[in-house]
Amino acid sequence: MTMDQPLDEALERKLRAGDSAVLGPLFEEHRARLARMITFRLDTRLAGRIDPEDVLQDTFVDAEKRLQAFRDDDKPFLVWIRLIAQQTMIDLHRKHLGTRMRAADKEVAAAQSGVISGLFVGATTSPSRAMMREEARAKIEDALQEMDEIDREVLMLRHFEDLSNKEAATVLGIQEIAASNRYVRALGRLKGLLGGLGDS
Amino acid sequence: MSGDVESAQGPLDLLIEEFLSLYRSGEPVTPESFALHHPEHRDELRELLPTLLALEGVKRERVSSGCGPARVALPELDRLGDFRIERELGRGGMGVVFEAVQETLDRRVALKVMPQASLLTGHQLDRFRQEAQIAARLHHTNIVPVYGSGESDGYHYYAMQFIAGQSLDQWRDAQQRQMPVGAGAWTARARFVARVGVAAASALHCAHGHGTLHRDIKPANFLLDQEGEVWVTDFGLAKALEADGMTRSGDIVGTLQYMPPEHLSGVYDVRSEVFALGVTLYELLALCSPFGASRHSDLMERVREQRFLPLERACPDAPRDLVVIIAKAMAREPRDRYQDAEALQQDLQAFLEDRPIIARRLSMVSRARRWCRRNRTLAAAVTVAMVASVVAAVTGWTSYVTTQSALELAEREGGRAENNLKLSLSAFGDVFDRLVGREPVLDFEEDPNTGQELVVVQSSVSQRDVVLLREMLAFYDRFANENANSESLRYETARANRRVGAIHAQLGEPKSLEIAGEALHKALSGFTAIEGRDVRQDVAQVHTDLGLLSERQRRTVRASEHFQAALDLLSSMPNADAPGLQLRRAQVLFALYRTKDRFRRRREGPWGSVEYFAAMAILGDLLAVDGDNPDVRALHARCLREDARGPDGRAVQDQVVEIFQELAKEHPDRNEYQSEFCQALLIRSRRSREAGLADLTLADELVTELVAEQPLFRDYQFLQVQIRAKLAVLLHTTTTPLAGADLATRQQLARGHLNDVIAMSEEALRAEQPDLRFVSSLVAARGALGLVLLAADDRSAAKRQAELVLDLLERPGGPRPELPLRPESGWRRNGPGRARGERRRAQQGEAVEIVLEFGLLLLRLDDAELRERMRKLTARR
Repeated sequence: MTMDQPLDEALERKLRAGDSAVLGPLFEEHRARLARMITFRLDTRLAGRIDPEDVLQDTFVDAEKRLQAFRDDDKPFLVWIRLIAQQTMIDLHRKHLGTRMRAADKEVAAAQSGVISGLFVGATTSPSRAMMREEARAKIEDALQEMDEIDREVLMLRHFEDLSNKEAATVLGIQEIAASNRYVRALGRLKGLLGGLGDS
Repeated sequence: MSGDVESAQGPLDLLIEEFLSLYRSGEPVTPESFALHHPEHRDELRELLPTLLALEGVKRERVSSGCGPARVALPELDRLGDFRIERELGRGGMGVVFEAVQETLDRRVALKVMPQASLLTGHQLDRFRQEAQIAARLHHTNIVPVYGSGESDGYHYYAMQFIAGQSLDQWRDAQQRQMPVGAGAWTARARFVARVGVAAASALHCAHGHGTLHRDIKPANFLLDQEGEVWVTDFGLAKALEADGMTRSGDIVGTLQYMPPEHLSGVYDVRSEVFALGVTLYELLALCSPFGASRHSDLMERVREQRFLPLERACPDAPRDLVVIIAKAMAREPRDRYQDAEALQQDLQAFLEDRPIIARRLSMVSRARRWCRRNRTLAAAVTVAMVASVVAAVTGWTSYVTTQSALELAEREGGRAENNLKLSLSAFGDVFDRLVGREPVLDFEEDPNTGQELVVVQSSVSQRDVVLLREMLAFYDRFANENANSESLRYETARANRRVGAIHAQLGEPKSLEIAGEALHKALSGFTAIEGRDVRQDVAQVHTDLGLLSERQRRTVRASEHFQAALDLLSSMPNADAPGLQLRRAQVLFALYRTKDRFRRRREGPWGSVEYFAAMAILGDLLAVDGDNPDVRALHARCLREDARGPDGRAVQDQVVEIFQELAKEHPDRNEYQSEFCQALLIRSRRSREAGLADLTLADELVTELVAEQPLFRDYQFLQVQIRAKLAVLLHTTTTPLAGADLATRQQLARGHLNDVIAMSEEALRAEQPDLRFVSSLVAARGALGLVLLAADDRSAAKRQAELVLDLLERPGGPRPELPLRPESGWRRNGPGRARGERRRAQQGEAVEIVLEFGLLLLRLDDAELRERMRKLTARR
């Protein structure tokens, strides 16, 4: 939200036009938010094993490799780089959890729908719940889980990844006004799901 | 993405955003006060803002726990109470160390300053004070004295004696630039490391006597002063500030490699400190971490599984005894280590004084035991380290669902239960992948020179893993039967069957091959019954598995049929041209070629085979588009291996070795490449003695590591036994100086190897399900040992070896004579070896093929009694 939009856009244009050297600065602009995205979406089973910094590093290397794809496509940089980061996470999941392609496909879906994946693995057994020390926190994450996919995504993008409405709309591929309405409505629904918690 | 801000975002959204940015920048704003200022949306804001704050809370939690602790931020300090701060010496996760002068006493101190007390909980502070007091009471020549602790300006600190010098991690880094060269330099380094060890162990023992554990042993916490004395610092202090070692990921990472494995399950005692000191000494000797300078994520895994480079490989020239001492200190099981720091100190002292040490290398048996325990404790360790671990999910879920009441519950709850099942199915998949690897492919090959069969190992599972997996499968079966209308369950059950089949096939024992067959057939009918979903690829895979299995059971026709079915399915797929499917096709074609090749009596070289030709053609394309893919390269090498009998045989053999060498180097975690590399070396070693010695020495080293890693896995042992036996024979028979040692030494070495082979073979034969391949290696090794003994003019010992072989063969109920002589696994069943065997048969006038070395021994002994026993044996068949 506090990003310097014009600078960002200028860099993006340069990158698209063929100036590969600006990838670094542009990536730096997005680094903090990518890191947050990774923190939120990295499977909790991997949280202790994978440093978000490692993921970022791999993401950057990958982005460099696939620059041509960025130029050939007209996806905005933010959308593109998030996709690469997600792919990197999937690869890491696969590597560390030894997941096969098939299961990884499920993870793609999970990562894209913004499920804090893994957090709910075995939710009916106690270990993962035990980890959530605060009941409130568990409740919110549960409520998020119950929500409609786009509602959850819009909340995660705006809150956990600090995206502006405009950016969230870009990522979701919907109109800004629609994203904005969606956001307010999602907040209302979350409130409904949480029941009394929000008041305390 | 057009339009101005007003129209692009709803007014309420804008207000929420404003509130959020005020809140995030630390403004004292509350939902209530903010709502009051915006009467037009007051009610909605009152509704929504608390929820928003709750969301922010979640975010704070996640970010702070996910990214590790922030670095300690201390403002510029120039004075703290009585201490005048002069310069910063270093900083870690929990504090900053300054060089300072205590003015009232005018003494130089090292001052460790903690973050402001507000960041610490009361409990942490209590512990900190308590530990500081204990540390201050420790008096030992090698412990940095703590003068006292205190608080000033909200900072907690403690002061200790200032030691001018460097820490051992600094020393290590400085040394890194100059690895010792030559025996003299190694001796000096080893003695230095041993002295450090003696001092440190003695200091630790003193502290342990006072009931204090150091808790953070690592090179950085040892100081080397200008006189060369070693000081231990930071007793129990740094760690006292952490709630528990496990949760602060940021800090744990720095010291992870010194953490004993049992710490993962919350156990930490004196022996854990012995372990950490062992790792420290390893590092000082080898100048690198035993776990390699890998990334954090890899490191965590290696530490958990205790996969490290054996010290004797990291520094092959270091004195043996010291290496053994350090290995014992670093034993995985606490009870295999020195039981306290003093025992370690004494052994190090013995080393320094050239006295015999107590530590011994782990025997074969204890290696196996260690491996068993490793797998058993894996579940526990993983559970603690990562809460929602797959293993925990599976074991927990298995015991849960195998009770009848759980089944009933599952039925009652219908959809919910199915969701749970899907979760555990995916967990099951994870476990399977962990155990078996991505795509298990069974394969085996024959040595082109002798026609002897080598089993190519793809990966490994233990019997226990199979039990676990079967347990789950039983549940799936029941569940699927009762929910036969659920398509997805039927699919998953078929897949589970396929996996169980693959696992059993890998175990390789006759009984498990049969179980594998059953499971695979179930999978086949399961998949076939599925409608409305394209399962062709799955079915093709099952056919391939069945083909390989039939092949292994020598049902050649059936194997061909399965392979053919797989090929038909693969080419019927709409995306049959995709590289992944093409690779599959090539793999099956190759397998089919192998089967047919085996079936044909006359061998005309691979190029006469349509399948081989087709597989190579596909590979040619794949290498062009996907030449980095290890599976493609491995298959290429396997195909090439077939051509090693052709006119360019030598060049091809070299190429095969080269490819597997690269694969083994690039994928150290994939055991199949390591073992295939070993096999390629073994095969090539038959070409020439001198080069063979080098090849076999390398292969022996690699396979020894594989066996150490998976001592229960017979195929690796069999490979090791073959390599070692061959190595022994070469050592014994090579006469050129290239062998690097005189005859006596080489014979000594050969004897050692043969004794190893004999011990390993006997162990394999004593197992519950004896692996009869080892009969042949046992017979061969005893024969070769007899020959070595005979060469050393010890005729009676040589005869004893022959007698032992005959004893084994004569034992009622023991292996039948035809087993070693014509074993299932095909010692020179056909091919050039057969011809040689026939010649030998003629020479000896015996009516059986016998293992070469044993036959030679009998021949050279020329003993009437033995000849008679052999005659009776062969008559018995």
